[in-house]
Amino acid sequence: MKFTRATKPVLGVGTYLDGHSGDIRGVTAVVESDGDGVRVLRYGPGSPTADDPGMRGVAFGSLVGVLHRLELPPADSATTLKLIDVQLETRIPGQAEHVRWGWRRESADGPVLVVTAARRRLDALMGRTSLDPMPTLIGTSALALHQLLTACCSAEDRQDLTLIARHDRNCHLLMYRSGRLGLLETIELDPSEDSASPDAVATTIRQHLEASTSAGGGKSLSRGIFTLIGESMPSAELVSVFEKALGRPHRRADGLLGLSGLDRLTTTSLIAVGTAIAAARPHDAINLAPYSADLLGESAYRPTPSRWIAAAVLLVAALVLLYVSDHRKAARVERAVETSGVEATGLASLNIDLEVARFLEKSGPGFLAILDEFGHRTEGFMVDEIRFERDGTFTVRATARSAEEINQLAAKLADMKTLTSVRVRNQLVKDRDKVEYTLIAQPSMRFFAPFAPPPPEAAPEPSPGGVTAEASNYVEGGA
Amino acid sequence: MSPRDRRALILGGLFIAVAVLYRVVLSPVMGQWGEARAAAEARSTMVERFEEQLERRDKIRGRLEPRFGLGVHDALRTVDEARVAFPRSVQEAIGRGGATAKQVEVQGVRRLRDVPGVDLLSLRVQVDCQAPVIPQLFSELCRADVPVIVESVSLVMPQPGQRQNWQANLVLSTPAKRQEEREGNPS
Repeated sequence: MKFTRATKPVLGVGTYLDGHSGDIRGVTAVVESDGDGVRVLRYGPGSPTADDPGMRGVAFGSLVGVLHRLELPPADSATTLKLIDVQLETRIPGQAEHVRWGWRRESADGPVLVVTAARRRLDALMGRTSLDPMPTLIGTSALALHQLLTACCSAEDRQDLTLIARHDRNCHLLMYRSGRLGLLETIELDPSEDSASPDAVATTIRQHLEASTSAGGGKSLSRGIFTLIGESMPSAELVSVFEKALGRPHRRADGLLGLSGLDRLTTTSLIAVGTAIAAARPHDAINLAPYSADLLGESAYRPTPSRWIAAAVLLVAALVLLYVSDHRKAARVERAVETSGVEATGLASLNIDLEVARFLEKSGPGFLAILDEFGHRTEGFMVDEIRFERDGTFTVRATARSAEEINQLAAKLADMKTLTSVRVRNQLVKDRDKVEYTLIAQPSMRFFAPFAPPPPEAAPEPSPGGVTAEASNYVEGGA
Repeated sequence: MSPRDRRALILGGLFIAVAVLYRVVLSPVMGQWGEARAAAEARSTMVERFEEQLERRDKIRGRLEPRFGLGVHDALRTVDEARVAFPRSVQEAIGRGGATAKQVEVQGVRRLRDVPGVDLLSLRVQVDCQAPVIPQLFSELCRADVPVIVESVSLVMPQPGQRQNWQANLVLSTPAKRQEEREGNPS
């Protein structure tokens, strides 16, 4: 068993505006269209109200369209539009810019139906209307009837069908051959013809139909059926005259159209209904509006309330998610801060630790570093006293064998890293080979490298006699 | 009521409803939301800064370790705590260095310039030692479990001519957290 998804009903509002007499009067139909057919919800004189739901369309009774059947290769909409432009330049040279046109492809790879209408006429009619909001679809009466037959007439009945719809002096002729629209024409009857007998009118129409049939190389006119509509139900005599003239049987419109909710099938009401159907199904309609659904794509559709609601729900859901996410993140960070002890006090304490560490690092060379370097350079000298002050001086009182030896020592100490401003003061000769001296220097505040004492088990034996640091791995460095 | 009037009424009602909704629900929620975001950002910034400072401190402490021992990694003691721990630590280091501390007394507390909230606790130490152990003595002071800063040293021979026996008068100090800082901040 194959299940098919039910077609969603769409609503359309169609207005037929008759502008023959100067002031535009209209009738409006509101239809609901789905897969099962078309139902007329409201029909009556006047313009649509603000409460009428659905897309809006208008058909002008005094606007005449011309059908062009173009054989164009399958292409996307943009390309097809360009191809139509080129074709129209060929078909109506010099006039293409003076017409407004709408198009529809008959099938996926079939020919393109293009209907043109005089741009100036259409703009004038639009300027005279006071429809609010402006309709998204503009069509002609004949186009509205074509849309009506496409939507409400079975494909079988539409195989070879001719529609003759009279309204005032206009007569709309639609002819389908093998299910395809072959003629879409509006002829204006002469007043003499209009007042003449039905025979004369039927003959005129027959001539039109024959002319278009022979021009298109189509089948014989005698095949198929025709339907006749007007502003009232056609009489049996009238039908008989037309059957005789056209040589084909007549079918009543109410037996042909799957349409409910409409009491009287008149030309006016059917044009309004056809326009409403076209408005409800813009993708199936030929639209003469300057902004076509093809150009605007899906944006031509007004979102349905359910879509608005869905979008609003999605937006609210996204905001709620963002809100919850931010709050969770805040809570997570808060917990992390609490567990790690990173608080204002923790940060302050860390800053103090950092300051203390910097102070220790810049507290000058340690006494051990000075002693180590000094010991290596003064090996053999007899030291009597050492004084050291971290921010002051390093003073050594020692004994040497001669003044020359002291000078040599001073020279050795001049390039020490841990001490600066080394100078010898107070030399006192005690006997021939004994000179006491005092050596004063300043700890270098630019030397911060640590003294790295060796592991206790690797420490060498200290040299006896003077004060010498046993550590030989003095680490050089400087800030 | 005409459709236009009804439409005007509906639009007006909607406008008022939206205004009330904004005032009662949206505005407070948005406020809370903004505060939560700001708080989270501030906390994140604080954590980042904390980690940065922590890394910097650890790097400096790593460089200080050879000069001041493992004690540089410990949290700063308060002055009261240091009064107990510092003399004990120094005495142990002197003992490990092969010398004998004759006298160890707390000299006093002075403020450490440029580091608010931190004092230097000073210790006066008198040591009798043999000449060869002097370097070892200072090496052990470098390994004490409290950072030891050698403020001043006086190495003299108590008896002239006897170069093996030396007397060292040291002033040592260690940084400690100021007392009122601790009281003001129980953590």
